[in-house]
Amino acid sequence: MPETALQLAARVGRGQLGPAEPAAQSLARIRASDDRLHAFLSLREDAPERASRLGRSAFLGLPLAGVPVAIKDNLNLVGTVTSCGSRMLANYRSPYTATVVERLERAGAVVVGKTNLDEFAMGSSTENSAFGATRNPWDLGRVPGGSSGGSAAAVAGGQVPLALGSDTGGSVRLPAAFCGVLGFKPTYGRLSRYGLVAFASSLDQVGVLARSSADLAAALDVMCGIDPLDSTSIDHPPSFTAALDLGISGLRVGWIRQALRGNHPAVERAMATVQQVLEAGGARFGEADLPTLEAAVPAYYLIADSEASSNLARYDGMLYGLRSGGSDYSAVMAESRAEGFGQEVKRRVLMGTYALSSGYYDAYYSKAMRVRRLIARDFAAAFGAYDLLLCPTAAEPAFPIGERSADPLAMYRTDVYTVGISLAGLPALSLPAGYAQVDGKQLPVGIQLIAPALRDELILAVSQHFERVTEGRFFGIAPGFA
Amino acid sequence: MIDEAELDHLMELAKLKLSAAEQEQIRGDLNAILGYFSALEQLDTEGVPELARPVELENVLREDQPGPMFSQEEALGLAAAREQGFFKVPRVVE
Repeated sequence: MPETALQLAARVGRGQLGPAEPAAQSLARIRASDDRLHAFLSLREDAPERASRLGRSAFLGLPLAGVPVAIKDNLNLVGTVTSCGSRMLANYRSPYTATVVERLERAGAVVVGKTNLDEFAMGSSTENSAFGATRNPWDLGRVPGGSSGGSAAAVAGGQVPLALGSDTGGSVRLPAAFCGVLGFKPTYGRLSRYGLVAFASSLDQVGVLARSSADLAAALDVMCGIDPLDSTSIDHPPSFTAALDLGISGLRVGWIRQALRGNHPAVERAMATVQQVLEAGGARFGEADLPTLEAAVPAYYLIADSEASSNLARYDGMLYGLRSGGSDYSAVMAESRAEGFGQEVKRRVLMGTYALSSGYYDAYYSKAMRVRRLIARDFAAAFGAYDLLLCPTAAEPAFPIGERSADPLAMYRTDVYTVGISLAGLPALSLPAGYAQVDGKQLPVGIQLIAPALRDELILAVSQHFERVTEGRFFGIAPGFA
Repeated sequence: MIDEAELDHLMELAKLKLSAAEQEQIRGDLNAILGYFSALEQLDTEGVPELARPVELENVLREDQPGPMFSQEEALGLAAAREQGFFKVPRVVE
């Protein structure tokens, strides 16, 4: 739908539009376009009816009154299947609701469906889903990025104005860049992880995808804050909506030197555009040196795989999820996991098991955690000189479906600019800032804005400034889906 | 370098059974990835403490008071097999 979340909420919140209307329109758009995109794994067909039952008055004055939202299928919502894109959980019906989803609903949002993802959020293209790949709305022959590719395609394809994803090493930011929408990963701890299916617990964060900075801020405002059910959640959130008008005058901005070379020309043009717009608004630019960042990809994958091997041990075929393998308990475990997990998940579980196993722990897992400390120190030093750091979200625009799916290392290298930020737990936004022309198609590219921990709101101020000056011309619905 | 014996050991630790064809493929992948990870050896981390999580946290405790929880029916609703109000699992102790 072309309207922003806040435009819809204003009309429903004032009683000018029935609360079921936006959800009904959104579902109609999904039905009309999802055979092309495959952004959704399941639809909540009764979403309009649920909104109607609550009644018009229940939505009056709510910040997200009637706003249709899509949520990644690794977020629990009671009564819905939460498959994580895996055969393991194909029939898992959530008995409870994630805190972030509950808070969105309490603010008036209406969940219309669950979106596709790489299995257990492990991937950079949404090709690793057990239920088929999602396609990029800008070019159906290309990937939407991953792992929150379904959420990004749903927002860029005009199916919903707002979606939730999760970001462990770039899984919100990369698909946002490839699909030309805003994708924000807050500081680790800003958003509750209760009800988000665990992949790598020291890295996982819920993230938001939208087509306007104000929508992003509104969603963050209703979701942030401490949650007694997540001991890593942080209290005293800022007002993101108030931060939209902070302005950028005097802001010290640093390009990350390690990310300046080897980028697609369209990415370089987008970098120039961002610099030009921010400089005209009074920001000052320089370069920041983060030498250890070169080691971010191996450090990230060692840590994420290790944590995943531990977190995914719960899928043992015993209490829930797929069960296979007869009457011997050991065979049930081994065969349920063999049948339930796809290739990439198996690779990562085995790699993580190796990195944590006796004799290799120091050389791999422990080493990676020390490198993680060095990367965090590099960021801390850079933020001594700069308020905000910038680098591309990815070196290139979206790649063709199938190009990297047989080559795990090529897929991992796609994440070169996002994973270091995750290791340091920092907030970052992928800002759509330009287009590449590839094979006659227009493909979006994104630039990351990175702030110090707990200064998330600064990013929103910059995003809003950029959106206003560029009149939102990089933030639109993909052609063919408007 | 992960050889066949090492992969057998990992499959046992991870409780993950792979077909012969899968084993060959995954072993090749893992060794290529490990080769790439070896770049970390170049970095001097002598005396650098591990960073296990990005924000400093203190343990959070709460009063041990019962709150809302799943009913037996809700919990068992996801079970692969059940019997007389219990999860039914394969025999574990001989």
